[in-house]
Amino acid sequence: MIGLIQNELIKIFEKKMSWIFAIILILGLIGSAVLEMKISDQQKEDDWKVQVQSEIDKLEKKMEKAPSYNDFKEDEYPSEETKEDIQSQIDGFNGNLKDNVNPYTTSWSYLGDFGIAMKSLITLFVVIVCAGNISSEFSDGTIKQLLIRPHRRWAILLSKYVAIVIYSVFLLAVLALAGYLVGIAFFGTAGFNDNIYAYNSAFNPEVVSGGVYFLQNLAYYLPGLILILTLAFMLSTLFKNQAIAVGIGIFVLFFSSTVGSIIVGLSEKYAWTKALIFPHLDQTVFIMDDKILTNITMPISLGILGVYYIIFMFITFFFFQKRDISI
Amino acid sequence: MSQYALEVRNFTKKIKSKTIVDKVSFAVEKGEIFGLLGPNGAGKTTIIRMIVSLINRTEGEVVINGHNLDTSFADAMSSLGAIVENPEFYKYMSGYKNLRHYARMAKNEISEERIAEVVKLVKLENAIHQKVRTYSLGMRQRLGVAQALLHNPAILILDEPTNGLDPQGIREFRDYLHELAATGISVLVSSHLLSEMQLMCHRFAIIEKGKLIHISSMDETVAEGVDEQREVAFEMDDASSALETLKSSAVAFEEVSLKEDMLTVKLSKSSIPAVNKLFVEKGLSVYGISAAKATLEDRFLELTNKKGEEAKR
Repeated sequence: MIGLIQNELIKIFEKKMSWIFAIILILGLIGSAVLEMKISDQQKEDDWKVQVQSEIDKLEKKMEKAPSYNDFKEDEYPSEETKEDIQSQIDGFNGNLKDNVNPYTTSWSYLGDFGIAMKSLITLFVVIVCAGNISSEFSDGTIKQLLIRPHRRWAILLSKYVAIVIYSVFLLAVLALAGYLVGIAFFGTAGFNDNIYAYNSAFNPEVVSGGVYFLQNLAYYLPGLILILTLAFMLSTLFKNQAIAVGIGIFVLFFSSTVGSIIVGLSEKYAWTKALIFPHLDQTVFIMDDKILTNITMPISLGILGVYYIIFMFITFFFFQKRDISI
Repeated sequence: MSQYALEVRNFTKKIKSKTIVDKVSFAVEKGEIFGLLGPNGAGKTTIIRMIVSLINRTEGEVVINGHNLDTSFADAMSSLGAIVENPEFYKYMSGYKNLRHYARMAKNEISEERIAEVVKLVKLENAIHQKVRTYSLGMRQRLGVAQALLHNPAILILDEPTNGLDPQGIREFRDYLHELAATGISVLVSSHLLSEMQLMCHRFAIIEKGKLIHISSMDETVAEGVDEQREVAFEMDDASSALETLKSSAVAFEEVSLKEDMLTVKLSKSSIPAVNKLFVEKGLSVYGISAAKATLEDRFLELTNKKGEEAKR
């Protein structure tokens, strides 16, 4: 079995495409870091608290001269910053001081904003590699040479599956490591436990540790990724067609949140819609929320995913075992 | 150990109600090149794919080098090497990496030396580290043989191996198979190219419409036709008077064609010397006599036609 998995990994990594995907991730991280540098306020002092305090002082001075909102007539919109605007900025900075959250971009807040956003790309790439891996064995005819060896079919299929899972973990590791390094290179080192704000589904900010939040995001992303991968694996094994597997895989990836939010509406009327796969694919919501769809907790949600997983795997292996290879 | 390298017993394949292969049985002896002959769509490929377990059998069993495929799968599969239709490889990898890939799948470990030995055997030493993408079809065919031989199988199974090869490549391939057979490896080869099979195989089976209709050694099959009527061409200066002579004699014959200097008739092989004597006695000069040898093709058409007529009745 080790030899079989080794073979499948070699076949994945001998293809340039597999490396190009990893490079695209790294370039995406660098690009978004450059963008973030250009558009956001930069920390100039060594200690951000000093800088925040001086910003507050500046704002307080500015406030003395600023007009109040009440100085304007009823249907006239203030053309300059009012006392109220400035006060809300001061409140924001004070909140930062109180919560011990650096308002300037740090490596962790960059990762929380942009690094995590890249994870959808990983699903996309894994679906493409998965579908290509299986369907090319059929279209190139190499599946015949693969199946006339002293190994059972299920073992050969399983080795492919394991290799693709390893590839997706590899891409996640590239994202985590390259993200960490790019963050340090652009925004300096930050402590693992430096606080950042994270938002739940109701957009209420909460103070969390930057490092923990980033790693949690990657870990909670894994179940959904594995499930979409398994779906693509099933489709490409059944249809031997890369286009179908990639198409449906991408559809599920990008529309699961849309379909998921439709289900939120439907679930009040029809409870069974809560068992549809879409709202459960994104487990990262459970980092900030305890429940989705009013009463589904993470273990229940994972359980539902587990049932889909078993069904997908059973169909894949059952049909592959029975299939006549006649290409 | 079994005396046969391969035994196929009662192979049957049905897809829905259609019978594609119907109770086919045969055995391949050690060191023998055995041919599966038949027109396209007769079921040869299905039989081969059932042996190598690419297609599920509806009925029947297969024993490879004494191992039953159903009860000792790994041992049975380890005893065979195969190229099913075209030799397909991972084009983005070198020939060597492809071989390493298949070596890792073998039941017993395959050493670097063994890989080098097989590469040398198929004369690919110079190209083995190039990507398979750059290989010619002949080279791919040889790499196919290399991957099939890596694990020292008892039998080599080749499905239409000469498809797409040029005459030079076919000849090399045939010589190569004979060399292999001489070392004790059995070969099962399928083809619809009859003349090719005649040169390649020791014994063969004819498959038609999923049924095995004839099985025998090559020499027997060709020899059986000795006393049948065959075309004989006499090259001479006065062909028309030769025909008159023949008509007035007691020899049984059938006229095929008459040209100025060539008389072609159908008669049995045994009567050729008598006819020649007749011509000489009459003072007719004979420059050449050529009897069309009964080829496997004639026999094949004869056999399949006979069966076809029986079926019509």
